[in-house]
Amino acid sequence: MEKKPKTRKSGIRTRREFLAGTLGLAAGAGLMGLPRGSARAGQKKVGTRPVKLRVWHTEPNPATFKAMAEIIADFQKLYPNITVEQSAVGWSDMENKLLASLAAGAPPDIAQPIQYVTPSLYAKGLLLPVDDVVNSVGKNDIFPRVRDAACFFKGKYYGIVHAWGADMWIYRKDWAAAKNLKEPTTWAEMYDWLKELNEPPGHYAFSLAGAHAFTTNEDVYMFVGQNGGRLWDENGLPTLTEQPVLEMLEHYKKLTAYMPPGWVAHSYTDTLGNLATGKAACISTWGRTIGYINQYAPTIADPDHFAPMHYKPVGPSTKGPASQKMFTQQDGEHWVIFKDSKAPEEAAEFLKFFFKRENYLRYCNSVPLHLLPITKSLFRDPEYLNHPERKKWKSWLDVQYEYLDRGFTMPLLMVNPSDDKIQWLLEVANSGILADMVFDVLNKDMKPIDAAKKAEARVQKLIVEVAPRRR
Amino acid sequence: MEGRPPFPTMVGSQKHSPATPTDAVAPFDAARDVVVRPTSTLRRNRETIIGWATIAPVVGLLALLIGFPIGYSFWLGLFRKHAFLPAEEFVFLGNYLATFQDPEFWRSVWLGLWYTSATTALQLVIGVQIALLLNRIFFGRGLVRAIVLFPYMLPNIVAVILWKWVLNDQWGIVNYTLMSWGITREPLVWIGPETIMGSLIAVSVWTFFPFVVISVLARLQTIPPELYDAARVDGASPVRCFFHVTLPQIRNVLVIVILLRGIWMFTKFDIVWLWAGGYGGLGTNVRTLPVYTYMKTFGQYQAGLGAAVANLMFLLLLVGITIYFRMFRYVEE
Repeated sequence: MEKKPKTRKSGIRTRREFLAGTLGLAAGAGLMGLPRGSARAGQKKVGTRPVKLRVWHTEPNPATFKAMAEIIADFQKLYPNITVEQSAVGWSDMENKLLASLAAGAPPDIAQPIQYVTPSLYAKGLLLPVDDVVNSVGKNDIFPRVRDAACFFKGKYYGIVHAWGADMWIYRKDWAAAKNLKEPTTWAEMYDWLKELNEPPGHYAFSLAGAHAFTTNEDVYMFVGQNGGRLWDENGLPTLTEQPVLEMLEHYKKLTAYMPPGWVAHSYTDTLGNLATGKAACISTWGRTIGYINQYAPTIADPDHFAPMHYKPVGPSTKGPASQKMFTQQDGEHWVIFKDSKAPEEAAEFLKFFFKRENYLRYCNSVPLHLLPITKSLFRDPEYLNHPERKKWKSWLDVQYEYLDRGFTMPLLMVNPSDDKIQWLLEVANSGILADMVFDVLNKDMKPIDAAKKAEARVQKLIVEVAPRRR
Repeated sequence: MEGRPPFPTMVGSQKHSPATPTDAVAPFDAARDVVVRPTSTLRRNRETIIGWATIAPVVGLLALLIGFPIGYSFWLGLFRKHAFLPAEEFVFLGNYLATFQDPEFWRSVWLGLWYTSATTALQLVIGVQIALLLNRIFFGRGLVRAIVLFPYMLPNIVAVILWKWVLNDQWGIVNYTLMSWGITREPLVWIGPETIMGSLIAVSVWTFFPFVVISVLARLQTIPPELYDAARVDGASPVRCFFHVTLPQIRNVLVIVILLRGIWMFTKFDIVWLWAGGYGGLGTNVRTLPVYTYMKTFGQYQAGLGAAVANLMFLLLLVGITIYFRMFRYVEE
């Protein structure tokens, strides 16, 4: 039996054609409109479902905790379905707490790891991009060095600094003035300067924190940077036996002559106390120190007595003067959102809210000279600048701004811009190896080259052992 | 084993308990002081099952709480594993070999042994002397006993912070006093490279010696005074009394105290860690085995290597305890 060919009326489509057409339209819509559609859907979703956000930050001081609580309260008013629970964890405890939570598969939604942790978390695929937040803050409004360092990978941002600060050398300007001393610009000048200011046992010229490996890491990398050196090569392997590092070790040794005899057991806060109580003439520190000065030296709490050194002195291997080549630490933990977050959209929304001008100002004002805003606009905002503390301690603010603006700053353990992609800084930082290297020279009378060789071999071994898949 | 059930049904005075139909026919073997029953395989099996069923929960719990962690630790020691990442690689005894080749490990063993023996010995000497003192009758003895216990009641973190303040080279009351009295012109360093082990031992002894005091004092209070009276009548001096009456009486307590304090000091982590402020830099001078283990596991994120070191520490302790008991048995014999 011959089949009759089906005839079609014009305008009537077969089922196959209809399906193909529908799929094509859907695909087209998907390609053109869905990203915006999903973003809208995401926006709609935020606040419509009950969600609990866990936020871990590194600012346990009462003023900042209170500011965060106020920001959270306002956010919850806006989104009654979202509960935000903040935990303030000291930066020294944050890493292990965070990593333990990741190992347990229950990380917070948002956290503030130290900058060298972010590349490590990114490499392990644990983070979500936060471009949305960066764009909402205003990508071009953020200081580029703060915006990009250690969180910009393959064209995406995986973290956004909550606030920045730069390490300064604060010294007793009145003591130096009384002896007619000019600020030193090289290490050689610095020894003379320290010698003049050293008056034991009444007070010592310099105070470093030697008790914790963390603070020794800071000093090691800053001294190396000030000496025009590096800690890592282009492949992220250690370069501890290079001349600038060896000179750094010698420098450390020379400094001990001007420090309190028990400095190796002094913590970071001990050094703040040493300066504020008149036990030390100069320390390496942050804007937070003003709180100590206000508390322990209220009668002389002003920049005429406690001034930042304009430029940190540079070492013999530096090619250029301190005003051109100085180096210091750029502080600023990243806000990151974890891939395992149960509410990533809400987490991003919270960060956007956090960076809204009025909220962010409130946050930065909680420690006015320490938590510096990441946006240029707020940094120049009259309301921000007219804060009484900032007006009073303007020289402290100006120095930090200059350090950042002129590219003198890098995050901890990163001397060169390429260092901010190294994925094992976390492990090296916590290994204690750099601190051991310093103490091998200072306390075991090891030659710098021998201590450096030993440390370099240990770092190489550690990299192989902890990062076998990332070699 | 025939005729003797695995769990004896009645012994001793149980033969006088109310008679059951079975008891009524059971012959009494006076020589063995046991009621001998006509046993059957069925009965024996049933009793065995009941016996095992009774102890099974405890055995299970012990296996879970003690056996599993130890087993897991030994298992983990065979892998190269990042502390926080799921990636792992089987290396068999590689971690142990790496540990033996690490000079830092042997240094930690030595530092741990030095810390353990010094603190245990000092706790013992000081603890026994104070216990002897507190065993005497004097006015305010109750108050003094309470004060002596005070360090042991303090959380270790408080004790460490307290002593760090007291011994701070810049603001510490010890240096302040020494300098005020003109004993020294420069502040002394109590927590420095050369002194950190000494000050750590001193603080540890201060914190833990009350344990020895309590243990020894409790035993001293049970020694019959007649023994001392008899010794005195025989003309024994106080020193001879101590060595020939007191010491033999408290010997068993001392054996246990030395064992416990030795184990606890060898595995002590918190006070060592807090005193040194970590394991790097100055901490290398007091980096005992527990701190070294922590450093490997949570500082350098090598969980497999950390587990291997923990296992070695466990084995070292086992060997030490075995030798200790053998020595004790030898002395006793």
